[in-house]
Amino acid sequence: MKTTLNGILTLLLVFVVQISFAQEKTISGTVSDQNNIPLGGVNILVQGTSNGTQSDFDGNFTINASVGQTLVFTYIGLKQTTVVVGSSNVMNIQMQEDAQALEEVVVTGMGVSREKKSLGYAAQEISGDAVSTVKVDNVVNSLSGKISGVQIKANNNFGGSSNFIIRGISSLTGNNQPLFVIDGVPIANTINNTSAQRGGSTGYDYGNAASDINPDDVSSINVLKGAAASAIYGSRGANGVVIITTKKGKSGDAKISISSNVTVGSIDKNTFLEYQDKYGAGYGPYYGSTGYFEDLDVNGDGIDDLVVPTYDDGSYGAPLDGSLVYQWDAFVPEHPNYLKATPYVAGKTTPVDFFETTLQYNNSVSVSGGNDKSTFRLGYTNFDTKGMLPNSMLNKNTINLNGTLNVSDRFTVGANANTIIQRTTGRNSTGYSDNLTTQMRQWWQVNVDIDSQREIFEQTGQNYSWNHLGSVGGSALEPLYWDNPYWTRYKNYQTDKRNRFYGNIFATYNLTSWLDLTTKVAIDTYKELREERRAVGSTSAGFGVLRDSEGSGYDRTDVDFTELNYDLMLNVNTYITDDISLSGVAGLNIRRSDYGYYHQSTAGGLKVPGLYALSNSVNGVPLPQESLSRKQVNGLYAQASIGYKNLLYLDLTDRYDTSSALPTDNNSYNYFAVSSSLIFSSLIKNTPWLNFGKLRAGYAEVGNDLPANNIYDTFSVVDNFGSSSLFSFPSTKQNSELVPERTKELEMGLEARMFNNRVGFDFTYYKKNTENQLMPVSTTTATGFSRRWVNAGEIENKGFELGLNVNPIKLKDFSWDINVNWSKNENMVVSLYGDTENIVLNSYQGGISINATKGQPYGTIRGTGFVFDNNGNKVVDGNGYYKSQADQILGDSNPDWNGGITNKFQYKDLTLSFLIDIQKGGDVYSLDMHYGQGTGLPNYTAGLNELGNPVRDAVADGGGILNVGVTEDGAVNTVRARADYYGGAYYWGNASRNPGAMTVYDASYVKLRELALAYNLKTLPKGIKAASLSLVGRNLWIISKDVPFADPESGLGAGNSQGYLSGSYPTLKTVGLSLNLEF
Amino acid sequence: MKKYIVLFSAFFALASCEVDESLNIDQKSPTSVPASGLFTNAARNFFDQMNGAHHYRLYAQYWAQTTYPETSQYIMTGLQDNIWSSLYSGVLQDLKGAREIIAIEGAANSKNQLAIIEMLEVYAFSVLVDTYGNVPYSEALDPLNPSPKYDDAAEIYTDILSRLDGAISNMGAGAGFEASQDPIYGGDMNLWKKAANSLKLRLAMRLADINPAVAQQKATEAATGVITSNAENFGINYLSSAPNTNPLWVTLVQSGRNDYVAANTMVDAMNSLNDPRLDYYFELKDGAYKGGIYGDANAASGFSAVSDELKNPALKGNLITASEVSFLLAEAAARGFNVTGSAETHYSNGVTTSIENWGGTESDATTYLAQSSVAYNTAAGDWKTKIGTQKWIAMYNNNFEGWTTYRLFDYPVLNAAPGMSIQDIPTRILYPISEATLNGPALNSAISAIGGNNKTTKLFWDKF
Repeated sequence: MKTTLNGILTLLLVFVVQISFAQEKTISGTVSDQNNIPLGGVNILVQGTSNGTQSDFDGNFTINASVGQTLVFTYIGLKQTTVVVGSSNVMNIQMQEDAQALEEVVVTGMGVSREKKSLGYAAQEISGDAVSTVKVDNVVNSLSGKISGVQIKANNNFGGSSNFIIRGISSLTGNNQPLFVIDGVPIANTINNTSAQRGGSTGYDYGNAASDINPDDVSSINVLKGAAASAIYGSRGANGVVIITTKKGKSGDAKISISSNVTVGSIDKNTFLEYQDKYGAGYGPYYGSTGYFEDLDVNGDGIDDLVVPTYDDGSYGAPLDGSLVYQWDAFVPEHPNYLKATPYVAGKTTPVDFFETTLQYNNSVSVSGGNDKSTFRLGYTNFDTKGMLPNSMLNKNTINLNGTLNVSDRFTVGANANTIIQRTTGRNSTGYSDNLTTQMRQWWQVNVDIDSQREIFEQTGQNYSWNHLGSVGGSALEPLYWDNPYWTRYKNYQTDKRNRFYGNIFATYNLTSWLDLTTKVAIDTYKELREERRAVGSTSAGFGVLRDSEGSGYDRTDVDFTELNYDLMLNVNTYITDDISLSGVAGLNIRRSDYGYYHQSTAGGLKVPGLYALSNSVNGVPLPQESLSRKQVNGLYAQASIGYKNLLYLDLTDRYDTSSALPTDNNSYNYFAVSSSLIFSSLIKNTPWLNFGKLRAGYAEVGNDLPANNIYDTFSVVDNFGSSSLFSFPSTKQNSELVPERTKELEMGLEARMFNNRVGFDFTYYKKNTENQLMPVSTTTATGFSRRWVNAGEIENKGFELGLNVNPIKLKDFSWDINVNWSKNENMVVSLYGDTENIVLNSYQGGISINATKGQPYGTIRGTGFVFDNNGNKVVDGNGYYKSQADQILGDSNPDWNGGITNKFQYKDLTLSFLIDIQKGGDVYSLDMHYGQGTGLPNYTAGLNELGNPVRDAVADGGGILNVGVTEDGAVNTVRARADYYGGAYYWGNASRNPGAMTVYDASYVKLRELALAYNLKTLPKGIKAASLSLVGRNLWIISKDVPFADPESGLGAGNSQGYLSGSYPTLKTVGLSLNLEF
Repeated sequence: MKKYIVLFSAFFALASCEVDESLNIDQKSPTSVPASGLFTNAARNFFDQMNGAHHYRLYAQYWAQTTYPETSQYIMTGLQDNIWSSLYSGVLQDLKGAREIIAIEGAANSKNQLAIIEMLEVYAFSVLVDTYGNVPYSEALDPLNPSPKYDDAAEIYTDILSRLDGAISNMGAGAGFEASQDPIYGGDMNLWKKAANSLKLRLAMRLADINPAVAQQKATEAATGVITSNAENFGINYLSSAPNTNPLWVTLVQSGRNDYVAANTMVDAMNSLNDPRLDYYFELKDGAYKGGIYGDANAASGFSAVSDELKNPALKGNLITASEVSFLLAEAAARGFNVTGSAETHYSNGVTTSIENWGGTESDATTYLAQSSVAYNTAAGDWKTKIGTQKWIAMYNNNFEGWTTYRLFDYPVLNAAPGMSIQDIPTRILYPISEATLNGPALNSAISAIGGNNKTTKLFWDKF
């Protein structure tokens, strides 16, 4: 690894030395289109050299050239124009439209640049600006709403993972995230959160490795959505491919770019709980002599005092009427209220005030340049952010080096190297228990002033929690369920660091004018260390390797990943006849990956407080969890694209893979793709309004293998029982009879641009079936195992994607562009294993599971549902509570459709753009509301009923809640349900009443996702080539949503099981200022 | 040009050859293990499961719950699947694997080892039957058969009793598993044989109401070789530190929670009998033993807590005790089965060995038994009432037998949870929810065979 890096550095130094600068006369002028509208962004090149520039927004350009040289002007959709440099230093050029040769070039599979018109499949490219203008910590999140056919779910975990699904979930139990390829190098995007974390119990969201991609280095992103496009990448492309091309140096003047960005953020209060402020601690009227308070002689006067039940974490207690009672602070010797009764009122500050202002800096500098022999780019980015929770920080340093060298006319070598060092402190715990937001959203006393928790922690450094056992004779330093939240943040924090290198070296040799041979070696490797701490004095929670309930401990996980790709490919680009073109690639890929995971922890607590080391374990250190997954896949592939007269194209792809993860007898599989495009606008004359029209169709079948180590049975090693050594069968039975799975996908599309390219659309229909899936199916444990690897099941995804570009106004100084992306995916589980009707993907707290059910979309939410009568009315029991029935489908986590609308207004040098991101439909279950209303936290649990009486009054006194529904004999319900204790109308339910369906919500949203106001400085000081200043905002406004008090996107993390909210973090609204300078 | 093509083709030919298949061999998990490691793991899992099934402590009304009383209101969510999977895949699969490896290993003591495994398999299947009713048995534990049929509970009993006979007769002189791998009896085959006979006695007595002839025959056979002292109790020796502690410690101490208090049912019964075991079972609350209302939410601060004895991480996890055996023999005698000793003697032994096992003295027991409310001849009710009540008190830390005592004898008199009736007390556990989706047709025929998948469906031996 070190040697590789050194080698690349040396190579790049060579490039730096090679830079030279040209000297000619300066020519300036303006470029305009046939309507005399100035054209910005026209590429201008001195023919035969690498000297080039671009026109600015007003069409102005300056370029150095000598008399007699030819300037070449190129612009997408316009005819290439050439002008010979004469004596004049001024040149005004008018370019003509050319729909016939609309040479939009995109980077496709295996790094092959193709004219977009020739593609027989959907490929949507966006520029680097789209992800670097408004920067977020995970580049994946920047794509939300900008690409059709993809569904991106950015949860609010600090540094957390993003779920990225292209054309729906296709694998029942496997990975559904797309492959990321950066400059031809596949990049691991493993989401290696623990299964406990994904299942909703304690854990941290460690993000996905694609977040290492630095938005400032991105030149363009092309998303290959279907199998026809991605087949050449082999099995790993089955979920689509995100091809990222990084910025490269260009021949010409050396350029220095500096970008500086500072962003501040605060939580969107619409995504956090609004507390009631009328009733204090407790679960109902069953404490002590008063019903609401413990009777304990606190001040030692021999008379029992009224004491708040500090040990209970709900708010169905006494009215907050200001009467004097002993609260949690009365038991804390260091507190001014020690042994004092204080007025019983709602906390002056609520957990909303716990969240801090966030701050994010992103500073980057890059130098690029080149000459006819070489190009290079060197970039450095520092990203630093402080999150919404106290003691949360993430710092990332990225160094990127890119270079090419023409060794001879025929021989080019190049390299790309990226080093990323990321350090994180204080990720938020996710899931049900031991998560701060579950304390705040589900289990809280509204009489607690959260700021006083901060004060006592800062004053004493001790774990004085509001939830201590003082009120029942215990110590104020004995927290029951919840630690002081500041203690949690400052003492029980985790840290992690990831050091990553990825890059490649390649050499290309032009065998003939039409045939190149390229070899490439690419590496992606990282080491990650995750450390979790639990300080002595904390409450017990599942911790460490054993997941035992532990009051203190240290846990470390080491992840070690390396992937090597060796590529050899032949590129063909020629004309067979004048009319028939042939381009293609044939190649060989050998991929070798090793993924090691080593997890160790203390057990039984820490001997010496504050020392976080394995050797500081009270009990013997439990056996570590080790896994090593190694895999090799050899692939042979060929792709040919045959074009006829720029009119008709045919693409053929074939790939043959051999995988070490499959059984020896069945480890090779072949698959293919066919696609075609017809530029019908070339056939239709006399339609001047139609600038471009294309029909395309494609069909592909792609095979897939499975993760390593799933063929041969092994045993599990269990921790010793005293002197006994223990072994066990693992829960999954392997299978040596497996065969590769297969995805079949058909897609068709229509693209057109009209009215001088002012209106354009791209429409796609696809149908994708993944069959014979490789998966560990659940079996009855009466078989001795809970899972068995089999080939089974089929999922179908079909849908539409629509991209629309409209340019309603295009004046000299003003233009308005609208870009719309819309997609609808319909997902259906066609079959499962044998007669199985349902596979539980994950079971969660609250009796909820996320499932794949035959005949239903993937990801149905199941749990207890309402009972309905024949007329569809909800049935209410004799006490006025909703009746429930077990195992009902409560919702579908798939959205009906997703869309994004970007509006861009440009006035002279000022650009205003904003993105509205929309999800329609999809359901989500909220455990936060399930327990939160059950403990009486939200405002409405202390509201008024239909009679205008407080719902918390006794039913006999006119209180309670009238649930809309009918009684079992069909009469309209008139019995108001109790709402004066936790077991009432908002109770978290049991088999017979208050179904889980009560807290299932529509996950639709409309969000003002991004807003950017950019100013390109026109008059620039000498030496500065370009400057722009932008004001950017993200997640400024959730225009519409149905999920109460939370962002519908805020799930546990990325993965197959979505549609469940527990301990959601609020959404950040951020505003930032960006300065970009180019020298 | 040509030479490149040749070169290229050669490279292709070279590279397209086989991948390195050894990469797919897991480097971090063993492919073969000693049988004893599987046996010990299965045994430990079994004892953990039986000792950790705290819901039976609620169903038997030994304990009540504090803030969250759902389980004591017989909400079974989670329990059903948990018991099933821990017995089948956590216990029986590992035992099956151990049996297969022993056959290959062919060690000198393999006959004894196989007999021990057979005895544990019989025990585990008896628990499955006693929990659910009909369960997969003859087609179980075959990973290639994803839909094993459910066998008739009575037929399973017949088969496991005969397997147990075989195991007992195969238990001979010499070693079983080496001492370090046998945390129950340290390799002592004599004790294993006593435990196997005691299990046989228990299973025989389960059948007493529905098949008295078989019950008498098997009980009589077993009675001569059973556990007779607390030193011989069939229990696992837990250790003082996690993860090898008694599951009670995990629930009561390690969790840091206060979810349980004494139940009024148990405390009231023991208070009225001046039971010396109260000091070992519960903590005093304001100078008295006070139980929380069974089935209701109780403030943890208001009632007697579970005793420190139960909070000892190394508390031995007993599943068959001398006390239980004595009560089984008392029942056999009371039913007129041909066993040595009178019902009264066995009853008194049951009480005495129980008191002694908790740390009480023989004189404590004598004093206790001297009370007319306790003495076998003077205590109220018929033999079922007397034996039922005293066995129930003695089975305090043998939770499954505590609940089963009620199921078999319909004594002691339990309390109805608020809003419920006595008829709502479960007599079985519902089938796992997952079985409906994973093995639906087989489950459905089992449900109709046992008379409904209800908590109060009576098992085949539960005639009265």
